Amino acid sequence: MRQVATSSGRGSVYSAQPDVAESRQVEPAPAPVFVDQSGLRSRLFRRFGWPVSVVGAILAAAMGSSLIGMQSDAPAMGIPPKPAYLPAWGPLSPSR
Amino acid sequence: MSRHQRRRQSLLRPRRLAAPPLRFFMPLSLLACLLALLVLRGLATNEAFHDTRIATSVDKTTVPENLLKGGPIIDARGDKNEHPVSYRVPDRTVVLSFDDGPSPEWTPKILDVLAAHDIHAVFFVTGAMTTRHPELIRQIVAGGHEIGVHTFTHPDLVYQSEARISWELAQTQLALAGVAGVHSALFRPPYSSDASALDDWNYPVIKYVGSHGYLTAFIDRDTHDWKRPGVDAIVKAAMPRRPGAGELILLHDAGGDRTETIAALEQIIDKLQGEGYRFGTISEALGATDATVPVHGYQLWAGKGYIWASQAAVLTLPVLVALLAVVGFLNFGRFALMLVLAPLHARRSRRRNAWGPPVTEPVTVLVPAYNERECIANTLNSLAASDYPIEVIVIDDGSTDGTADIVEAMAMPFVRLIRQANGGKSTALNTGIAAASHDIVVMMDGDTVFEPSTVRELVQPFGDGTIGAVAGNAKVGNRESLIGAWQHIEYVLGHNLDRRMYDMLNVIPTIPGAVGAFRKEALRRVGGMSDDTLAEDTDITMAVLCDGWRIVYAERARAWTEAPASLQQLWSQRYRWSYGSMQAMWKHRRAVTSRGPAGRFGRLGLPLVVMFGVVAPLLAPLVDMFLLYGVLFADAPITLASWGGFILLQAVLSWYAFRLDGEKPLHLISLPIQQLVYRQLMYIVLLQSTITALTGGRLRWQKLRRTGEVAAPVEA
Repeated sequence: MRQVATSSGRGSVYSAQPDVAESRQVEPAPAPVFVDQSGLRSRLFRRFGWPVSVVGAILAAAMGSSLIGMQSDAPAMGIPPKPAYLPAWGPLSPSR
Repeated sequence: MSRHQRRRQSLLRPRRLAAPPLRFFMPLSLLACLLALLVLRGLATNEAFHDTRIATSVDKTTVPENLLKGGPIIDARGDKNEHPVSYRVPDRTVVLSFDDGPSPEWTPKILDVLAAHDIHAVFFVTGAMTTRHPELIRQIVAGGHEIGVHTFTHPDLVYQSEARISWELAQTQLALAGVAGVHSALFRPPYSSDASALDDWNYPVIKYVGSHGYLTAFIDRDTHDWKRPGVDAIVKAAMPRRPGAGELILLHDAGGDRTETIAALEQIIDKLQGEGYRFGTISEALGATDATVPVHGYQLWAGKGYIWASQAAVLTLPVLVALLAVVGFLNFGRFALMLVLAPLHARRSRRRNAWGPPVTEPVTVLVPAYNERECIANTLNSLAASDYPIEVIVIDDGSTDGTADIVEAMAMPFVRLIRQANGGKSTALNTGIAAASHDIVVMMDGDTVFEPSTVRELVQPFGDGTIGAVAGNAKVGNRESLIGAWQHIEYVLGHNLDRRMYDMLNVIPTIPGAVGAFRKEALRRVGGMSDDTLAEDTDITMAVLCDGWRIVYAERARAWTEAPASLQQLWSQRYRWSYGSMQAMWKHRRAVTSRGPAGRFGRLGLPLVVMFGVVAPLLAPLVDMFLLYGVLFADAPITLASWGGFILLQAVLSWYAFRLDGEKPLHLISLPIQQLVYRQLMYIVLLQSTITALTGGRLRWQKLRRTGEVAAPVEA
């Protein structure tokens, strides 16, 4: 590390002795916190993240579309022209 | 500052575009699921789209006479839509109908009574109740009874648009298909009575529903059982006006205590059977084909999917509410802590000589500078005006824009310049620490401006020998723009309330890089600044705390800094802060199990910072989802009112913070918008940096930093 120290006021040269900094320079640089050199975590995230996201998006779309209410028509129900054809007495026959 | 931030932008942009969109796609898709689940649950519990208005009776000028005087069953389907016809229940025939169910408590009992007498009846069910109690619908259908549609949310349809009526019908059919695989051709409007009650408002509803193929079934006899008038009154009301006349009787199987209904039902059946009446469904009484028709294929599976999703939604809601409660607890807990501790802190800082004898010995001010051409002169001039004896060391970290030359040309007698090859901010600071002549070291940024009294105020707490470091009060200078004003609010809140609170607990997690002071002894003991993390200021603060020193906040030591002026700059600054603070928290995680002062910080400070700084913001999108749901689907006035209450609470706190800091409260007017834009930006940044931390990516960024590209940030 090149270090030129000047006292701008007097123009004299001040030589810095950065003990702490130097001692850190000597050590082998530790891997920065959180960084995964192997890329394994990132691959895992992608491998599981994509299916989860796609399934989530499909589910959200399906749930959303189920709330739109497209089919509102009733099924057909046939009523004979004269409903009073039923006998006035006796059990009702089950409908067909 | 603005210079190197612009440069960093241009360096970063290609990387951000190259990154997979997964980190945005995943949260968005999960949030969309969340909102859909919320709406599904809201529908099942009849909370969404709820409307309790009930119309009063109006004129009957448009209703044909034959309908008003006719039977209770109105057929306005197909070609009868222009001139609807009505049917009566044949003589000596009774159709029992039960509205508003099914209810898990009462419907099974009613089914038991009906089964004991071998009688079929009609159940007009709501879609919401159907969705919540699928098993009951299956029991009703299995018992040979008929199902009718009583809308989904039970509104008075007179007030609803045709689209809404159509939606109510469709959604109920969907639910019926899902639970029992059937659709129904019968319909009864909520709040209806007999055919003579048709009027100008509800007649169009009947015609509209008829055009969709529904047979509308009103009633002959209303028992008013929902008012609980007594068993005898219900039985009496159910008896035919004319002996032997056919009738459609209205009872209810949901909506409150139905004990009277069930007791009355037994008597009604016994009495009418004694009079020779027969019982049946509507289609049986009309001799018609089945009103409840099985569905197949897409309709069936769409319904099943809908019911499954609704059940899942109902089951997940307690989890969501619990998470929401966590957010609420954290936010209100933080507010409460602030409200208690900030006044105490303010009182302490008003005391004279709170730290023992005044500190007067000279101190060293370190100014690490990387490409600070625009700002460095202002910075040094502000130091020249200092009312405290200082020695200034400017460490030029390999600037390429002539920053060092500017410093040299200024030729200030108290300023020393150290030029070093580019090595990053922490290296520069370590260089400065080594060169410092005095025992107390003040650190500032090359783009920060001190007031004349800043250094004096900052170092006064060192009168107490246990204090190892002091945090100053960084203030946003450029607060005229909206982004600046928002950051101004954030800084004032963050410093005056959060930092005062942390100070009183003696767990200040960050001394802003823009203005802070350390005992050289404390720095030496923890090994100086480290470049393990992107937030070297948080890192060193935590290290000093763990070493057993006290750290306090000196609010009157103000430093003026220029905050990022564009969203992009703000984004990358905050990305680095969030990521860096999480690195620092992770780096000091072992403090949790340590003994002594480190353990104290690990078990009090770290959890607080993790909870308030990471967990609460990460769960914050949940709050916005509930807000969105409340405004769009549930009760908008109540939702907005409670949200407004929260904003108001925050405004009061902010106003108090502004008052403590002697700031004009004018900038607080942008607080509501800040809550709608800035807050979201902040949690998105935090989420993104969390994803980066979890996946272990962005190594290049850290290399960038080692070459000094991101040195000398505006830290607060």
